[in-house]
Amino acid sequence: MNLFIHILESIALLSCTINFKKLESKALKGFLFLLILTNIVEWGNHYKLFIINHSNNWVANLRNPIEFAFIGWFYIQIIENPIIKKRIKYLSWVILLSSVINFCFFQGFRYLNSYTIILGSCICVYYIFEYFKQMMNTPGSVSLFKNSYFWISVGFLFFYTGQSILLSFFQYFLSINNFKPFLPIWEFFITLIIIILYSCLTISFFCRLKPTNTSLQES
Amino acid sequence: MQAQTNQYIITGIVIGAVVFLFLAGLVVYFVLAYQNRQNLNEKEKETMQSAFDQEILKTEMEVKEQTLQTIAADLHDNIGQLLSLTHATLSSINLQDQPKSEQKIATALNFVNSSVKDLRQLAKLLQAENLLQQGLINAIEQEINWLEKTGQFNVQFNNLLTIDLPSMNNKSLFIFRLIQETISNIIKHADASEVRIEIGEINNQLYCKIQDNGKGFDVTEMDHKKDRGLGLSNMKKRASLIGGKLDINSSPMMGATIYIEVPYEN
Repeated sequence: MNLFIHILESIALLSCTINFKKLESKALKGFLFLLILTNIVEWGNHYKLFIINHSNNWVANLRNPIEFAFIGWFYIQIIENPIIKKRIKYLSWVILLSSVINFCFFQGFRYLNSYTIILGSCICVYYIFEYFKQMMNTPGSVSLFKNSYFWISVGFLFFYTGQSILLSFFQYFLSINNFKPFLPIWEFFITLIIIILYSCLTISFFCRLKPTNTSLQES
Repeated sequence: MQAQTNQYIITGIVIGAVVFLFLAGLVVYFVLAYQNRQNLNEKEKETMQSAFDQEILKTEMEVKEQTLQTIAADLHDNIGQLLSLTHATLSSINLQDQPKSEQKIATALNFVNSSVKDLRQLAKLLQAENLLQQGLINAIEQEINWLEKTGQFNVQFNNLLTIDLPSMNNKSLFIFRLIQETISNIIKHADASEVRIEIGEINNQLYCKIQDNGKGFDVTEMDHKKDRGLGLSNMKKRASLIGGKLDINSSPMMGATIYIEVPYEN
């Protein structure tokens, strides 16, 4: 199953690379960086390249703040309201700072920094809702299904909502030392949200179209 | 222990399923709400487009009507008079008095020539639909030409445009009609002796300033008057329809200035 997920991640990277020149915005082009990073980390983990002291969590702990910072940057690019942009900027710093604090003083190097991921995921869900709100207030002339940002946001919505809930359960079961029975469900849902995320990302790179607003005065 | 484990699994599945159903429902709701909003937007745009088209038709009709009025007035005041004079001159010819007859025939010929010249100009005006095809400036010059012909006004026209006016389609029609309406108002109401028209562009904005030295009017009072006030508010509405604005600056005994500003793109 893990191999299948890595293949999906690679397909997303491939579709981004193929369409890179045709991607209309800086925000979409930025995904190439994120997907390269993701593929390096995931394939590296798959071939056990990053194991130090029997753990490869440190790679995820380093990658996640970068991912959240990227998502903050992405939504700053596509959200038009300057107040929300500013808020996203502050929240991105909050995530980065909490990641550093968590990494240095709490969950540390060896263990997955789940608190940071839960916080970051919740904040990402907030960005998504802000973007959906913006879309509702400014419907464009292009169909929603041809809008790359819509697909990306749907993928993120499933992934980050799922991730924050699943990690909360993970922490809970870990605290009561009874994670084992929960593991198959946990793996099933985590696989499902990853499939949804990378499928949506792949679709989004083939959409490429951005919504445009037309006005009567242009006629 | 096994029962508790099973309960954990079932609870996990139920919560996971509920969350996923909720998220899927949320996305479906968003898509439907968005489509609904888009449809409403489309309908609104269609209504606005239809209103805009109607306004264009109305404006075209008004331009034609104004042109026909000008033609009627010219036929009556100029050509009609000239032909009457020709008729009177030719009727008064006494063929026995050859020198005088020759003089009268020459005068009649002059009248006929003037009539022909005026008729040619009228023919040009009759092609009112083509008036704007030759450009907004050309149309304005024609309008000024007729204003000058009334003999009541000293007209000054400053064309400060340093660029070729791009094709502005319906915008030209609206601007021309606004200028025509302003000139018509000056003729009817202003009691002016001087009219100054200036056209130019600043920062991708085409402007036209029409000034007269007439009796002027109280702008706020005029806004509440039904007949003329409505005309001015309609002019403002038309300017806003093409993304422009129309400002009126006037006070009693101080003349009036109408300023029209319309955006255009090179």
